[in-house]
Amino acid sequence: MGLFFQLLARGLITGSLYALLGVSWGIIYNTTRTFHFAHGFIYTLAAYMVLLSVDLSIPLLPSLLIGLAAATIAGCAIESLAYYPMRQKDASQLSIFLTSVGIMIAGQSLIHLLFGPDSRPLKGFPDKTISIGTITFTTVDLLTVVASWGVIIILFSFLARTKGGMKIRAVASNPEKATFIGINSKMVFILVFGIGSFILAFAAFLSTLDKPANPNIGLHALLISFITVFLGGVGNLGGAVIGGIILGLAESLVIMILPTQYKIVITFFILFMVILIRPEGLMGKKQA
Amino acid sequence: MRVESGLTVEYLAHILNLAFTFVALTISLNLILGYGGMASMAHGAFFCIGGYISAMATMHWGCSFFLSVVLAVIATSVLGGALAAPFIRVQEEYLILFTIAFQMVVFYLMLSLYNITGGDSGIFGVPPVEIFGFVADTPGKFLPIMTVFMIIVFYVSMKVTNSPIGRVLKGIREDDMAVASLGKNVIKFKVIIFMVGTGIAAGIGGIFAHYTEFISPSIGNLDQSILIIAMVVLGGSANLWGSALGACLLIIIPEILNFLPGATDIIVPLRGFIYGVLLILFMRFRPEGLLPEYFNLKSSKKRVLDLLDGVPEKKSELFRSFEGNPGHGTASKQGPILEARGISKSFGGLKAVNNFFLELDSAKITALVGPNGCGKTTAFNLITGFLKPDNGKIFFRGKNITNLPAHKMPYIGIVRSWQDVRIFKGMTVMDNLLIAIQNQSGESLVKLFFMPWYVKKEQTDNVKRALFYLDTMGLRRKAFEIARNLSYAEQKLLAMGRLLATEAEVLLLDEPSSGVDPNWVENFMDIIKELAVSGKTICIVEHNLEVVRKISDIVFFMAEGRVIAKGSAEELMSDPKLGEIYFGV
Repeated sequence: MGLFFQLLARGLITGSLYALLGVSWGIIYNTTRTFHFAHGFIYTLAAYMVLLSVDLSIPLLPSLLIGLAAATIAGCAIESLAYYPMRQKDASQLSIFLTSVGIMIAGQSLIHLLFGPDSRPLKGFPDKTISIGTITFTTVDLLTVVASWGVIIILFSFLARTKGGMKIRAVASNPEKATFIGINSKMVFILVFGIGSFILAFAAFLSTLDKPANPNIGLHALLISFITVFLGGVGNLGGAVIGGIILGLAESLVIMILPTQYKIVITFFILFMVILIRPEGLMGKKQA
Repeated sequence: MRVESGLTVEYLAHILNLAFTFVALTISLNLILGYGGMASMAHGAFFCIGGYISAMATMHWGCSFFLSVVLAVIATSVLGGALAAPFIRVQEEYLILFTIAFQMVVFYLMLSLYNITGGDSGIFGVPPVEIFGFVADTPGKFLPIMTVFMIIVFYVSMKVTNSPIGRVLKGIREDDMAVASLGKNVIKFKVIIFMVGTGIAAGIGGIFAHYTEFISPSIGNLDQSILIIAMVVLGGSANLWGSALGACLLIIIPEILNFLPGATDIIVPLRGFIYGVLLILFMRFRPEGLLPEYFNLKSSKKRVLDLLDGVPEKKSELFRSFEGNPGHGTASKQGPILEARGISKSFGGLKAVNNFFLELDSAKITALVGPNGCGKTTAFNLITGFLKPDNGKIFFRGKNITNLPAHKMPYIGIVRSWQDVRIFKGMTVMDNLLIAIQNQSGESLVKLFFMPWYVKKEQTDNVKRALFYLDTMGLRRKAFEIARNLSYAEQKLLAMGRLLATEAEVLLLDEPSSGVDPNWVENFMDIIKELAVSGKTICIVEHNLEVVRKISDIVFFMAEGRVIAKGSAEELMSDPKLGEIYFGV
């Protein structure tokens, strides 16, 4: 039983981070329907900008800010310099996706060329172990849970309560009608790329505190981000949160039955079964 | 296999083998990406799976090299098709989702299953390629074998893409709904081409494993998949020669870079950077690639022109030949041929169609009229299977067809046209007609490869049939125009001809005369009347009441999703209440 609760806690910690990744990609996908593969590159970029700042003996908190800024700028730049002109030319979804793949692979390779292939740990945050009953976790885990949910709650209230949030929801539900009522969809697109990249940088920071970064970390983060979104249901950001927790729990609890290397297979299995039975995702709306 | 470093003959042979391997791989991905319009991010994984299956078959299961490759092709394409089908069914993004996830899972799974795959370090000692006792254990000896394989892959791909399958795929890339309305199962064709591409990749994987005498999970990682995508895009989507060019360029450039001092350590990220940037630049500035989609006009044009010489051009008398069609002379039969009873459909809270009914009598022209937004097009979509009714039933010749999918409708004899013509604008007029012909044996891979003479003969017959409908519509001189270049009225004629080429008995026409000038309206009315005389059962949705009055035998008047009146055109038009509803006075 002790193992179960430990794994449950671990699953919720990972699930919180996955939920954060999910909303970071979900807000972009739900609003712009861009299969934003380069999200993975932005994740790596954020982690490396934080690492670089810390190397230049900037304290951890300002380094985080640098990482957040770099990611946000990169996200907005990709939208306005790469995707936007293609949308203007009526490029297909497929060509925009392939552009995104190009940015991902070129960006990731550039980081590899500049910083080398080695793993780099992020130091500076007090890493202590805390035990409650049979459950143990670290201060980094605690920070991950608190910060992830903090960011998710702020994002949801932003979307629900502010004018900017309303515009985003309007464009997400019907881009054409949103334009009719005077919403500048170009700006909204850039805005969601900025928000998504900002949140992603947060996730990259939290995860690098826990595990060292290498030039390829973006790929796994990307994979989790969009699996979470499709699992939870396209068009419903709450679905991405649920999807993230389910994936986190599944990856963790499966250790009770299978060796740990199979956790990615479980992720895939869940995705496959959900798409087979409910193509619109767990919380998605059925299309007419 | 041993390769000496430095510029030796064997080294050059090795580079050629490598290039040919990627040419074949790129062609196989082009089938999926370029022709099928589906982004597969898992091509590397399928290559790798094929390699492992083939290697294990020769090492542990006592298969010959050749048999092991066949095994790899079949097993991998079945696996790939079965897993991908549920995702292909949904939307294009879902296949991207599936293939990335699959690519990653396969890679991590192979790394963990080291008992079988050798994990990170892979498996050494895969026996060299052996065919008829000839052991190709050096790059030089392997080169002729690889060349032959590459040519086979090229030939097979050429044959598939030039067949009716290729034509349907091109149609799907332009307008998948229109393809479905002509009786083609869009999902089936996408799955077929996915399986063909995947199978070829697996076969090359098997050959490659035996050539390098080694296999490891990293030969088919995500980077590899993206590299192959870059090769397709760089060379040109839906152009097989382009794939050959793209693959050669992206193999040879890094090999040259390799000779730069100090480049060896950074060759992997450097290569990634180069092809990433190329991908971005090409998608932005030259999305069609170095060699744009090749339009195979010449050979088919010549074949058809020969036929044209033999057949004198006749115009509308040709309608008489419809007499052989089923349905002709059935006018006296009891009851309506197509009947919708009490069908309803809601979108959200809005009842678009509510307890709707419609009866089509054989060889009669029925008009469906009503003010804008009254649900006429929705009713068409419900009857032709593009929407599923919430309740109610549809009968065709007494058989319940309520749940029949759209692509089965032409097969039983019901076709519909579209308000916005929806012809395949990038295809020739001839191809627009050929694609509509039902039950083509050339759409089956098995028949295409094992009964080629039969397929060829049938294709000749089909060209003759298409020609007949071209003449019917008076479009013979435009046979090889790209449909985009036709005038709007000609495009509407083509849409009509395409509908006739399905040889269906019931035609549902959505605004056949809208958007054309009065002379053409007359022309369309004549055509429709003649069709009814020849035995076709016709239902038109029409705004032009003049047309309705002149040609329809019976009129159904719709308002707010219901049929509120039924009768002859004269009767309904003299009813002032209906006039009020219609014109909103």
